[in-house]
Amino acid sequence: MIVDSVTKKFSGKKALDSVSFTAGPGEVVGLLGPNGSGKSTLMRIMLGFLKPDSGHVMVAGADSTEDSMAVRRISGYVPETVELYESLTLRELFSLVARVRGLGSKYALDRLNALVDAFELVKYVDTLIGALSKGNKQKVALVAAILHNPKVLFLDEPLTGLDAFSARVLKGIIRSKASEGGTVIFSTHVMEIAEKLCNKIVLLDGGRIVIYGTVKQVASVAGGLEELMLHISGRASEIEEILRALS
Amino acid sequence: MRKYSGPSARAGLVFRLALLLLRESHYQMGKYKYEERGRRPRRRELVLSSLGGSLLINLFGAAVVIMLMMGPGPFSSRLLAVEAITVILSFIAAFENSWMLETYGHASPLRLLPLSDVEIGAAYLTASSLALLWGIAALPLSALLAGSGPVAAATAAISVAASLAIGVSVGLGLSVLVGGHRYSGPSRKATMMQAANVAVYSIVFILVYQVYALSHTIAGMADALASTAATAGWPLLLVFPFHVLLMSRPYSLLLSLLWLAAGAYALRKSSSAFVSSSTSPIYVVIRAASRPLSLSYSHFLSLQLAAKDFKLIFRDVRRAPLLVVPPIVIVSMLSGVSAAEAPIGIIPVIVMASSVAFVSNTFSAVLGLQSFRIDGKFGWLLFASGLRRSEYAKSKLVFSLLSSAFYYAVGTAAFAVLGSANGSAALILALASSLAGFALSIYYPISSMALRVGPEGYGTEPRLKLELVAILLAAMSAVASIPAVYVAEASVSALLVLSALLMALGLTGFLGRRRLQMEGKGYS
Repeated sequence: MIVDSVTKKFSGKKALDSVSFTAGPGEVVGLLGPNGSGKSTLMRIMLGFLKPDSGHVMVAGADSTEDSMAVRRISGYVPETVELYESLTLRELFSLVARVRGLGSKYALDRLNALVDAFELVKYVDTLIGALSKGNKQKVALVAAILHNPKVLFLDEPLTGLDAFSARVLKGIIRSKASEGGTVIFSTHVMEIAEKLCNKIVLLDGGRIVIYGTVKQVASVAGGLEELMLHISGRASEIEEILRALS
Repeated sequence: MRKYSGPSARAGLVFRLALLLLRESHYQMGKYKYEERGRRPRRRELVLSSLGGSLLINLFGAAVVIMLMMGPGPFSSRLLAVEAITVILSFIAAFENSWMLETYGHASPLRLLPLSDVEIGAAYLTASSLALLWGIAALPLSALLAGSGPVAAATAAISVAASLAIGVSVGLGLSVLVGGHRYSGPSRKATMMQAANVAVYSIVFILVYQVYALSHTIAGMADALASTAATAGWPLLLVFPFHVLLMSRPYSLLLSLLWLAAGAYALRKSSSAFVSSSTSPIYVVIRAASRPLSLSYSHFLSLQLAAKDFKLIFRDVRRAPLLVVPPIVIVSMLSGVSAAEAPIGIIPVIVMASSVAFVSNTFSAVLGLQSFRIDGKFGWLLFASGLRRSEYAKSKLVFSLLSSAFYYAVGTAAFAVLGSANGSAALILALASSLAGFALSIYYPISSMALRVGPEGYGTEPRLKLELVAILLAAMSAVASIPAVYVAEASVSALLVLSALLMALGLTGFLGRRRLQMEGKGYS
């Protein structure tokens, strides 16, 4: 994947400012940054949901600004806030997704059975999605995103709401996807996850890349990702005062 | 901080809690509705929604009672009309408010405070009753306007009270059935509740229409009820059984008291059930999968997507009546027009055809807008999965065709029954004008709107709605101008209309294909 000088404005305000980075096959790239730094906007541009004001994005040879359909066919996406058709059952939703993706029924069914079992969703297949907890809805969105074994995975805060077992399954899926030669782009606020899973880190702040490099390179700059994030926020020194006031 | 003590302070607290529950319910409901449109509800909209609905129905209810009691005709007919309208309005007010409170006004934050279940329950009942204040005014008003002495006045007041109790009981009971237990999983019980809800709305609409249509002739109220029963079925008469038959007898006051007692008992039971279900946690039933996972593939993706739209609308109790109410409206309108004179003339046939077209096109467009609105919030998964915009447009076209075809089928069947006395020419003309309206109004706007919706902007835009309204008006004007061809022979007129139909189909097909080609760049 090649992101080249992507800029995006909303109502005259820059959400992204000349963002550039690459992600090769087998790499897991973490998008980090404070709230409102542009991570979700960047992800939507990479998928072709939004068009950048300038720059372009190539995903597995397809230009997402010119041929977003090609990008969406080979990629899977889970947004930060998962909204699913609440009046459908899991069975109905998965049927629809498999049909839209043009998957063969046998292949889709075998893969679906494995994923539903892995994420402990078997007993919910005939339940309306609206009745599921937030964590289970997240799992449903994950299954739908990886059903077709995508080459590229875009995950926006994927671990939110997941229990320990499902989080471990997801991490295993991310690692195996990378080992198969796929690419994973995911955003997270949990520094420890980023340090353990990612090969590269892209740190955004105010729509600009602050630091971009391997995990070791980035962590060595300020003694760890958490320290770096606090430094970016500019409020590291206030923490002790706040804690003193609360106690 | 002042300590609270005494019943007066707690009574005031219950009222404040009631207003809080109402405000929270409107906010949550508005938040859901407006998020589908891509924005948060504004404060003014929420205030208008909270207060406007209750104020409107209170003013309307009081005005209708005064109008009916002051109308012409014998006392028994006037009272019957007031009772009917009281049952209907109190049912609607009680059901709408209590359902909203059940679904959106959760008591869980209140449980963290030192409040008893009795106080919380009283707050729920108070909140659900704020749209029923007109009922309190209706009792003395009915007695005052009844005339004919104290017995008539007492009968009027008691009958209105009984009607109020029955209407509220049915409203509260129905909201308990279909309220906070919506997400109990696909089951026969949930489907039956949904069907019961839709049936109740349908019957209520028929009764409201009949009462409204005959409100100028109060003396014909008994006939209106009889014709409503013929339309809606005998179960409706269970609401007004012996009371109707014995209205003119000397012991009608005693019968009114008995009816009031029955209503009070029903009200007590339904209020208790409502409070219990509102203050208890929402019970969600999740069953183990009864059969292995399988995939259901339709040969046509557009058909599968259209089926999805129908499921989403029918399974949501807020939207389900949209599917069933239009045929009821069509049948009511046609029966109302055809009852005017027999045999009916050509112009009334055309008026009926235009009415069917108007109702069918409007409701299928509303359904289409609802499906767009739902996809605006939840459709990201399908677009992220690679759904083409042309496939999406086709699915919306199929959805609109199926819904409007159903409505037109009902209208056409009604024509066949009601218009056959005027011969086949009138029937052909009516069918042709219906199809013309159908083709003009459905194909172009729906497919055009669908082509504009994509990953960049989910949901409908105001200008699309304006475009839809403009095209609907144009289509209705075209259908309404058809009577001009009646200066010629009926067979020539039929040929002219059929020709217009073919041209309309050709034109919309051409425009639709052009639009598909033009919009094909960028998003395929």
